[in-house]
Amino acid sequence: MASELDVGEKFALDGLDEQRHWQEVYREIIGGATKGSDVFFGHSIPRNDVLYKVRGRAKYAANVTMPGMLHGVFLRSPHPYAKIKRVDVSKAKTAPGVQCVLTAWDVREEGFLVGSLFEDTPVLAKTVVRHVGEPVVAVAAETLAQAEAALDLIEVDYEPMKPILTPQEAIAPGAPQLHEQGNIIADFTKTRGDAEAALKASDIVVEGVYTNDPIEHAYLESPAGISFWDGDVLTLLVCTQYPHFHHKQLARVTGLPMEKIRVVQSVIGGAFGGKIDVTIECAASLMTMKTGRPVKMVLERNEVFSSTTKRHAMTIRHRLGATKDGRLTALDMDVLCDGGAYNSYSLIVAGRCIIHSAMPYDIPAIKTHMKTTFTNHVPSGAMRSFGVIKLGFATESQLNKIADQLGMSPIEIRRINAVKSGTVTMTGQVLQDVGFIKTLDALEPIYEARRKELAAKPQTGPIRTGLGIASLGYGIGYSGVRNPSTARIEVDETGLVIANCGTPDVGTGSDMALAQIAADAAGIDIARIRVVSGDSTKTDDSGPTSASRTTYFSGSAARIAGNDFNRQFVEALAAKLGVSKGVVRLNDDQVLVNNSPMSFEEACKTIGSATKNIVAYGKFDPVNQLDLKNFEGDPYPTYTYATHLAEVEVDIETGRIEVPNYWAAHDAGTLVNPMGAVGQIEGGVVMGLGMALWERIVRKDGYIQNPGYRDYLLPGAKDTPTKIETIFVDNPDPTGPYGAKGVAEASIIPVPAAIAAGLHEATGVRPAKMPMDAETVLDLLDRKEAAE
Amino acid sequence: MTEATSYLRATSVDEAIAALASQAGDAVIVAGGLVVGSLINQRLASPALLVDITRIPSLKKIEAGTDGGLTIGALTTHDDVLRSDIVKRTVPLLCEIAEDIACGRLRNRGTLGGSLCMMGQQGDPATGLLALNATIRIKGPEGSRTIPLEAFFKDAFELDLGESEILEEVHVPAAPKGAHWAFLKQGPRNAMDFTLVAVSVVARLGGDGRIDHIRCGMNGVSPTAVRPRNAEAALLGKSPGAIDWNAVGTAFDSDIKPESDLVYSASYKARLAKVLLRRAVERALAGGTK
Repeated sequence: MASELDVGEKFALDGLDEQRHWQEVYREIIGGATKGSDVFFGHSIPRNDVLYKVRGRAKYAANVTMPGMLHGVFLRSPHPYAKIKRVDVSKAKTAPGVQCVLTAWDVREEGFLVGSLFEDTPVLAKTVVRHVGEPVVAVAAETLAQAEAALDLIEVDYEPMKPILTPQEAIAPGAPQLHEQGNIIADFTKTRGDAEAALKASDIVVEGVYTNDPIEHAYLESPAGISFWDGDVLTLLVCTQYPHFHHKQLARVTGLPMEKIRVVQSVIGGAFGGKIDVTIECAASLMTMKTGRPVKMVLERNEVFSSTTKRHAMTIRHRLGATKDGRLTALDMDVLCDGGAYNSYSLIVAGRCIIHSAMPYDIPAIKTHMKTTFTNHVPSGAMRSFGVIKLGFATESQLNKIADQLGMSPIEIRRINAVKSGTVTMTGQVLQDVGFIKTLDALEPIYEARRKELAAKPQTGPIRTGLGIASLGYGIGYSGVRNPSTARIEVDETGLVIANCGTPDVGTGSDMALAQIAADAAGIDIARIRVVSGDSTKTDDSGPTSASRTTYFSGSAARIAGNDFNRQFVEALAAKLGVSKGVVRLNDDQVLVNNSPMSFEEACKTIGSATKNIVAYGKFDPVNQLDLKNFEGDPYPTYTYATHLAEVEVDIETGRIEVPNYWAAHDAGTLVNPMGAVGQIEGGVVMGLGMALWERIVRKDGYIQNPGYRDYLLPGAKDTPTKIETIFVDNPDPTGPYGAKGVAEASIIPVPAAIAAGLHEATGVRPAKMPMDAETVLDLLDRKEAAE
Repeated sequence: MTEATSYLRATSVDEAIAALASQAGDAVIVAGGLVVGSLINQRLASPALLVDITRIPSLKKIEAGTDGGLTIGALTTHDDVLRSDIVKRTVPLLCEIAEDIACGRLRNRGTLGGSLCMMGQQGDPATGLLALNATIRIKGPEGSRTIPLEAFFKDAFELDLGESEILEEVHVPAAPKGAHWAFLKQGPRNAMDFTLVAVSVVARLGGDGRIDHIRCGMNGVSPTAVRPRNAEAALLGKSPGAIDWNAVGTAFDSDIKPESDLVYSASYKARLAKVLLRRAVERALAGGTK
């Protein structure tokens, strides 16, 4: 197993022979994709993992088996909030096939609490459970059925307590305190100027309260992993966005030294922020330590729904003021947010939301406040956009209201208020290379033309059609803290180049983008490069793959490392040949020594064992600091911008919405891989559509009522727009690798607001809650009719 | 997958019946396996014996009858129905319904008999068969019997089907001469929803321009597929331009018993059903598909 892991091709653990075959196949595909160009950046090169995936050869963690492997399962809390009086596992321990029963008392004190930002979550609950689905006991047995059968033999005495189910209850006087820190996770305020006075002085003020239900990430692959001893190294193969986090966490939980632990990302079936916290990692590893045997754990889908993090439910009170010529004057926003039972990423979500309060607009007076509390719900955590989609729904809807009331085009009002290069944000950051207005310019002719076409169609029958616009501005990378990425490039005597990059590919194709950047910077053929990412022992900790940061941060690191590789390679060859390095060149996969050509393989052979000394390194670490007390500083090195246009059809007799056409104009800098970028946008639009129209975790008394895809409604292929047209505006970012910046999260953010605006244009009703399902819409139509 | 229970591949209907009888209610028939397989995988069912009937050829037929009608074996898949020239020629409504059932993969596996026996208030084909006045033939240890499909559905997941009986085939009589039909369904999404309202209508205008035949089948608004007999009565004898839809709606309310679920409330389902019924009737009367 160790040797197979070491080949670094995480998507096909079936050995080197099979990989060599695919590498050959792949080489031909790349040749076609670059159309003979020697530059890889900017070409739609197919991802190298796709070949394996479409043929069913990819090995997900759930597919991995090992000799002597045990199957692990959790016993979970049936109560939203209860004291644990007694845990008796004696019967389970002697049940057939059971090899390990792990309780909180088996976890060492120093490693008892884990967590992404704060160590507040017990590996297994000991004295109290704070949400339904919290793990209490873990069992490993020879078969999955035996492990599950043993769960029934475990006796846990609970003393149920009255749960806190809303943030309002959490902050009410006399509320029970769920944690030592109290019930408040975040309480942030930021002001700029005097918002209250500015609102009073405004010609027009719109008010609204915007709400949403919690959302499931709905990745295809359930969290899964397998832990095992590889010699004396505790190794964990797991689908995660952040192997280094688990590596450090496991060192604390197990007490093993760092060098005796290895965490490798398995092939991953989607993440979206939902594979960034702890699920099975600690329990599986501890059971491997207890038994000496591999332990595999795969969550069932109902466990995924009932125990993993969710998108935050928020209540956003929003007031927005403007002059009569459409110039925004003041914003007052107050957000109350349900953080669930543990911290997870709630603090980061709150911080990012505060920073993005006015984005992408230049508003002179701002008062923004966000309070996130603990409740006895499943923890809320990171999910694509870190909360900003809900702000977008509120702010964009409010702006559209003002435009309507002023009789102004939704594009024009955005143009008037758009942030531009040189705009100073609320945190005092001077924005550079802003492409927001370009996205408005790109969509305006489409919007105007489509308006005319629709106006020419008579609106008879029950279907009404409308167009809706919404925009976004989104900071790339962590909020206001340094979050460097690194890359290391090595070569061997045969000419195989390995690029060790810190942030793992979570299914987006980022390994491909990094290979493209590294190949161009190094001056070599991309087919030579194997990107190794997501192995905690092969790469530096470069943070998680999240916050749209991989292309910009890790891509920049790969570019620096690629340039460094070229320099070191030339020097090594010159030294070996005893010539001046000035007469050696490596360019377009061609080595020239005194203008006479030499193949790359030949050159590597010539350098020989000295190839080992070539260790190219790149680190990208922009200086971004933000004071989280007063929210002053430069939180992000750059921002991505977009404007979306949704065409909405509403059946006014049933309330049902369809979105037949959709246009998305994005400023993502220069594109590394256009096909990948388009995929990100289309995926984001469909994901946003799900949140806008159907998706909702239904909760009652602390229990999730719809823990499965039967009642949790995701958009299907037949529900997606017939057309999603993606437009990328030309706006290179000089601070990014070859002008690129992030795009991953952005495309989801404006979708609900654009659909809401289209619904309004079609019918005159203005939804303020997500999802805008048929019944909700019909209810709004009824009320409008009653009011008239 | 859960551990395997006993499994029998029956080669004749009688063998299957004998196997069912031997287990005193603890055996389950597997045809397409869509519902049974999913229940077992979710550990919601653990039958002692699975009786696989997929290799019984007599259950797979589609035959035109001498009366202008059609006989369809219970094992016929939705895809078979969709592609059948005989069905297209005699009762195209069933093709129209089959065309939009779930997705291709499920149409390939799902059977007509399975839909009628296992889908509770959700199967689309039941609506069309009710509107077409279909009968079904059931065989058990005591022999065969034929009943109207309407009588087959007793209550939620409760059928007029003994523990050892098998639904063999569905007989669809010829539609009244000159009748038109329509099928409509709507759920929150465009495919595969359990919260779904479906309606089939077969209607005809007489020589006087009034409705002289109307028969409907509905799903998703009662514990079983239902014929909204009161709504039908309110429509019969009316000319298309003079239908009092409020009166039809009131009559219809007494035909259905919708229940709230996690997606839609009962009142929304009732309202949606009325809209779909009206649209389907209007479509059928306007000539619709024929």
